[in-house]
Amino acid sequence: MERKKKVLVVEDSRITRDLIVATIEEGTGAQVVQAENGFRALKLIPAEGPFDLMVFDINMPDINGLELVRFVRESEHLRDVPVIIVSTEGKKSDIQRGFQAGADDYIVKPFSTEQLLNVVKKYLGNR
Amino acid sequence: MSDPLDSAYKEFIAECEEHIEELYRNIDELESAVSGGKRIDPDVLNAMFRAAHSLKGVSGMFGFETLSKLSHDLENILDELRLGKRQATQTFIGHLYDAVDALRKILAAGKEDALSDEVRREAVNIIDQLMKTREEESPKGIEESGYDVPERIVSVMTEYEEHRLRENMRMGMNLYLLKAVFDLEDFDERLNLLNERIKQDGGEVISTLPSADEVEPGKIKFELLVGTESALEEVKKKLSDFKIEIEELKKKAEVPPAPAPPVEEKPPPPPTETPVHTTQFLRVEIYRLDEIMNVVGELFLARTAVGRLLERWKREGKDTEDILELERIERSMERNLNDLRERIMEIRMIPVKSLFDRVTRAVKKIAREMKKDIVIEYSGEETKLDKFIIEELMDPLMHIIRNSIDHGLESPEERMLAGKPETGRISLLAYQKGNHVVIEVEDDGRGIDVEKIRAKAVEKGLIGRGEVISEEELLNLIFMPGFSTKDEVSMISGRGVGLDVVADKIKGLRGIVEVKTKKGEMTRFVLTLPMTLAIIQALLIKIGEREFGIPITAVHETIEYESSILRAVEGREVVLLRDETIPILNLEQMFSFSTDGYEPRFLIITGMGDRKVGIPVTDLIGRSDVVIKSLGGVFKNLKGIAGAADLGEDRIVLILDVTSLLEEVVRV
Repeated sequence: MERKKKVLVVEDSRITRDLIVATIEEGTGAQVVQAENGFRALKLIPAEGPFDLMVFDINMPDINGLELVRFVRESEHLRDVPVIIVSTEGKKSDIQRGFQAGADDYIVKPFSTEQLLNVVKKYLGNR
Repeated sequence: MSDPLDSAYKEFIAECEEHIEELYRNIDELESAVSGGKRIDPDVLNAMFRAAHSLKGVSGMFGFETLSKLSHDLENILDELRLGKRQATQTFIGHLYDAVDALRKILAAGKEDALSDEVRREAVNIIDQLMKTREEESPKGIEESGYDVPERIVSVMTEYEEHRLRENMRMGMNLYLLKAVFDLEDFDERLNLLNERIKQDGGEVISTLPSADEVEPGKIKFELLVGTESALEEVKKKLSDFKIEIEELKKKAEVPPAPAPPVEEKPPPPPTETPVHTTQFLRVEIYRLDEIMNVVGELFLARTAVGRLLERWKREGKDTEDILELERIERSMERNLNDLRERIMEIRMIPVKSLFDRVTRAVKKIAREMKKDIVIEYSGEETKLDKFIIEELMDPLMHIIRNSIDHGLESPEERMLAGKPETGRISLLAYQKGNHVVIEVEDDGRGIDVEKIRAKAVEKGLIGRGEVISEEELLNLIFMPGFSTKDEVSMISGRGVGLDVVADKIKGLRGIVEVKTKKGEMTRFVLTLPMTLAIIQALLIKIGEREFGIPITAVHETIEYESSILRAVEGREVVLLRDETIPILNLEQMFSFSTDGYEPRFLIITGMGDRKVGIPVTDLIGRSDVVIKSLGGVFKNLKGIAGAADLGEDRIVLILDVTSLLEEVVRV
């Protein structure tokens, strides 16, 4: 049997995180591991990995989402994991920044659950 | 609305409230920095921005458009503030408070379609006003000198981090790149510690980056960009207990020294200092604690039942080893139950500081709006009180204070003539007194004119002309419904809503409010409140064949009842106790039941604040832990009864409400 897909969600707003987690779990059947900040994510990545997809918010208190993306891209064993950024920052320059840091996709909040699901499926299906 | 939606909705509101509180907290910090002429901590501005940002995000996700739109505007304004594009002036801060007040009002509507046009329009205006409050940008003066900050760091900085970097450069700070390897297990604690250390030194961590460099498994490497006044040697010394590599970033013009060969990454030494614990919080609704407390109450009953059974067996001479063993178990159970109860109580208890902060904020706002010169100060803010009671106290406290601002504090001219400082003062004080918490609100205004109250009371027919009545009793009349000594309608306290509302509210919390005044000097409202409403110890008594419970915290003492100790003052029965005259209240008369010929044998002296009453009882049964359940329906507002408690074995007792009993005596 194929291994269940695993997704890491890092988002500091509890309610938004709940929504993202529920949407992915119900919509794709993947297992979702969640972190409320970047520090927690750094602990979970080696402990709970490997992950098939990561979803990061940008504006978080300790380390920001862009820094996390860069960390993932530069780490030998994480390099190929697709990363989606979910952020309220919707300016062109913000999105540009996200891609420059190494994100694969960028979703601007507020988003619909369908929107999120479409993007998530795109990356989970390909692997 | 179905259940899961409903609970998600509650979560949504709760999260929004948290962000709004966070905004208030940081505006308070900003206000005190600005009014004290101190340096503004960039973290405060950033936290404010983040709160508005999160509020926007979450309200957008929940389709609360107006809230989302306005918090978005606020976010933009706060973004400019933290990026140094706006100045935090007193006027700006004033409007900022208004803006957050407006957002809170919108949130109170609960959802988009419940929002009235009026509230929406008002909020839009307020935010608009804030947007326009813009002082000239502060001249930047010094040119930002280019430092050699590695591109890989700059490229993942947020706009804010970039701004902080520029600020540090502008202020001529030295920039350092710190590289450190920590254990995965506690790197967050270590980083917090490092952060604290740098802050203590007047420095700032501009950016924290996890590094992808290969390190041993179970470890993680970080790069920190730090700005500080200290020279390299000082920084090294201050951080000597951290195993870190420190590199000074030179100005571009200077020739950088040959980079030192990277130090072999050694495992960091075991921490020598006390680690800072990153506390994890769990938010629960307060009723969940009530539910647990109810279960604990049931457990207490079960334990009591076991105790009774043991007593009976022992009486019947079944004194075996097993019974002794059971007795030991029972005692240990009691200890643990007491412990459990204490711990749950502790969870409910929070310092009154949050309440005092909110009140202070509201008073400053009123002062600004009315252009009145008022200072407000508080002390004893660490005193703890049940969270539920704290929440309920905001309205009555504000009511009292509005009253003070309106009627108590004089105009500056009047104060000058009276030889007082022009600025009126309101002081809040909290302290614990036995099992109660006392909260005092004092103003240094003109005091309450007792004669005016007398005149008003006569006019309203509350007392007879020429009736002898003590000053204390006269003062208590201000808590009567419809009693007001100021005739004109006031903008702040309004008409019709008198202090009776305050008295009712405090009574509902099983507390009492008293007032003391000195003409021309001060008025002080004293609120005495139980520390918690959750579970109490009751003294069980018998009057005739009937059992009642009295909260033990309200019992001062119990004395033997003899008719010789009774006196009569103006036809009222009283007892003289150590120079104190205490009125007697017969419950059988008050509740019209018969004692079936039983004579009282004890007198319970009970009371609250400075007021006492003596209750004659037939018998004392003992004490018991009880959870008070309110009586439903028509009995809900029964005078003198706080509720009922289940003692097990089908025994239900009524628990007396001392506050309303005291009232009965005054009114007799």
